Amino acid sequence: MAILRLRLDRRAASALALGVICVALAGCVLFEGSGVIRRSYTFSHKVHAEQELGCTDCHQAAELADEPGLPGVGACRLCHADLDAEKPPERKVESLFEGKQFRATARGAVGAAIVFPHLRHVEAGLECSACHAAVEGNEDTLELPPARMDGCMACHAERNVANDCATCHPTILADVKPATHGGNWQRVHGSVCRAGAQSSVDRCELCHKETDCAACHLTTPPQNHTNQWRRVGHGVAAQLDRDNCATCHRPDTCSSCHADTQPRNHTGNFGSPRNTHCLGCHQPLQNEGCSACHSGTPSHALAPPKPPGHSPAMNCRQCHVPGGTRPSMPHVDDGSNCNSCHL
Amino acid sequence: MIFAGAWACRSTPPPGASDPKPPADRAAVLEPDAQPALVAAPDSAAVEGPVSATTAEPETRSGTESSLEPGTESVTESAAASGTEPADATPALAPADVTPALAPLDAPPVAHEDEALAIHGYLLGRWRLRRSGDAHDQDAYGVLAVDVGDAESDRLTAHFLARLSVDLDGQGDAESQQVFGSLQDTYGDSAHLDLYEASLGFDRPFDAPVRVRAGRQIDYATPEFAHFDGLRVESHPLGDAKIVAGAYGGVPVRLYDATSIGDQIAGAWTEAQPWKGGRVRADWMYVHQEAETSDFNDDLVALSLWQRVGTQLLLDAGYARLEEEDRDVRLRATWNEGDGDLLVQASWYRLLNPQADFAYEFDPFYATLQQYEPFDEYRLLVSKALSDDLRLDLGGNLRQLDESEDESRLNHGYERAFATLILTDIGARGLDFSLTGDTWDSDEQDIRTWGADLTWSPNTTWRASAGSSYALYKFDVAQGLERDDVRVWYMRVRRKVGTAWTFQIAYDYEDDDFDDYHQIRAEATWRF
Repeated sequence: MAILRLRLDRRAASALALGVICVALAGCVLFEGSGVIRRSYTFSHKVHAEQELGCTDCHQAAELADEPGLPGVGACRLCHADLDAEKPPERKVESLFEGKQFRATARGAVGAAIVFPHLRHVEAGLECSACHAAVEGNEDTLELPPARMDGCMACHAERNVANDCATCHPTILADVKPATHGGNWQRVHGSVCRAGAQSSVDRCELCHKETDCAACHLTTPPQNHTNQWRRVGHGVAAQLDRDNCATCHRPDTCSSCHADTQPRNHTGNFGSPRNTHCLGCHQPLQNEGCSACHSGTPSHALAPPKPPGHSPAMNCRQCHVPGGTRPSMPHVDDGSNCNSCHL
Repeated sequence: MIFAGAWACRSTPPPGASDPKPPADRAAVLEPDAQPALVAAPDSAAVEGPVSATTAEPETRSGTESSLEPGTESVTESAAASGTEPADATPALAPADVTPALAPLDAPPVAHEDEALAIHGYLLGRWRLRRSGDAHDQDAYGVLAVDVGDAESDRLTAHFLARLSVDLDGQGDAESQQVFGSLQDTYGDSAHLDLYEASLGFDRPFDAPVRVRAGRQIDYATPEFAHFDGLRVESHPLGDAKIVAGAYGGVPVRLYDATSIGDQIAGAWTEAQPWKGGRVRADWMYVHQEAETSDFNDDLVALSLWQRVGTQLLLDAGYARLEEEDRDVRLRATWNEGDGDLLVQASWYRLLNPQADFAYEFDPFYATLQQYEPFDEYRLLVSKALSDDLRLDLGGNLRQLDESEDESRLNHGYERAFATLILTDIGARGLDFSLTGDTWDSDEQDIRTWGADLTWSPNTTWRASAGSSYALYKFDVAQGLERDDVRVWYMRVRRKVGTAWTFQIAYDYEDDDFDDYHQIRAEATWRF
């Protein structure tokens, strides 16, 4: 079969693999979002709101205490004792509880590390929907959006209420990174930061100071910068992806070292003169030739100065060539600028 | 990476939303090593190191022959740090008084002018001994970072970052110099000071609605990083669209260049948030550079667009034009679900025209790596928390040169793939393990790496880790293929004392095809 003989080159295969990963991921997201995976219980605010129940009919402490509380099974039974009489056990209201604990509590609740005086917000005259947006239409408690700092801060700002960290976070654990900072965050944080502070998770300055940027970008090397990296590996990597180097390195990094330290392959028999030797790589420096890098080597420093009466403007090769009117050069003429060494 | 609030005004709170907290309590500043490390970038195209900076990598920054010679501890610590610290962890920088500053809802705004400026920063001292056979090297480093004030609320701010490098045993013998010679040695002095930042910022000088910063500074928001000695002015946001404009100018800073005499950098930009979730920015950058062979007068204009869709999707696009020729274009989508539960980023970048012989800021490596040929690069990153104690990171790049004949020793198309598996709290709380693999493949050069790391941090004061990494480089040295293997073993222990002091000692053993190396590093950091 022809299809079995199909052979992809390496790049096409890589592109295909990337495509497959994308499709697989999209499939996972769609599958999860499709609701095919369902829990064994649901609680619908919408059904109860349609019965014209108020929030405090179930959340009885919502306007009385800082902890609004969740309904107990007893409160539910006031109505459900009759409603559930004919239902199987798994559909009775008791199935929403584990002991006395309501099972679906996770998404809307703020964590214990966050101070949230519910009563104070009620007393300020806020409607429930100011924080619990669209709760009256919610059909599954686990689909309630979690409270987000953006919303809190926007509301505080709108009302001229203190908006500093300690307003809600009594302690700030400097050792604990936000949940967003896991996994590939290092690789994407630049683009997220650049997006601008339109979401609290993007607001680097909430925790970081400005010098932190340079502390990483300028003073801290990556962990793969080993001794081998210093001697060889960096050249291989730079030739693969110079953009990576530009993340931290300034333009002059290469030339600063390589002006004094030639690449490791620059041994005595490296290439052949006029071919790969010097000009093979240093084409842009052709006018300067080897002296662009090697003028500081010891042997070059020993080059005698030009004789009296000779100026840099003179063409040395006019006379100092075999058969010329002056002594020929005591070394191979590799085309360099004589003035680089003979000062 | 923009620290918008630190300098800029994107997140400037409205009048009155100021911070009533006493300055001493404004210490929610992450330590340099509390944040995963390195290789961060103005855009993610440059974020990945050849070995992914993950937990599996050792902190063997010995002998870095770069401007990145040791500074603060790179973090990349365990993935456990990504929000999996014990819930009862001692707050490292918690205010002494943990009573929440709960202002009444109708509390009047608190003025800031009367408050003393908050000063934060750190002082780091590091000693490093390296030995390989008879060759040896002993260095010391000091890093001082100071941030004064808060750009969001204070009228006066200042930033300072400098590093002192001292070669304790001099250049040593020829062998030592050959083995351990580094960028720092090019100065010829045994001690050298790198000044990265030293600037003063003023908000509303003469009550003008602008911010001004003078001195040595870095602007990460410009199309190419602008590191310069000079002046920067930025307006306050104007109107509902939060229109901001700014300009800067000065002398570019090139820490390893012999001289910047005659060089100039200048630019102007404007940005706005004209619709919900959207931000647009236009930049103009100009660099004048006086080089030995020729002078450069290069202009770059760039347009950028960011759009946040809902709370989870971020789209961004950019286009740049250099010297009246299209330079590059990029598109990127980032999906961040469940505050890190799932992170996906897909991007496309295209270099539109060959890049050669521009001012350093626009074409950093031309002199060494020669012309940069047009290419397309596709990138995909995925990070998924599979459970409370298991996370998987995957990613891949595909770079394709427009013309296969452009492929050369210094310019490659390549495929790259990497994966990291992170297990937290394995068997004991605070015991984490990670495994990372990374591969780059091109026609002439390949790099393969893998590494594993085991970190135990029973609490926030102690942390010990050990691991190993392996890298294989296959490349063409003029003729034929060469293989270099490098294996690193490492162990390190960190101890925090109180909220101010951190001590660390580390040992690395590295074995490669040329030599083996021993390195001991000890450091102390004082934060204030």
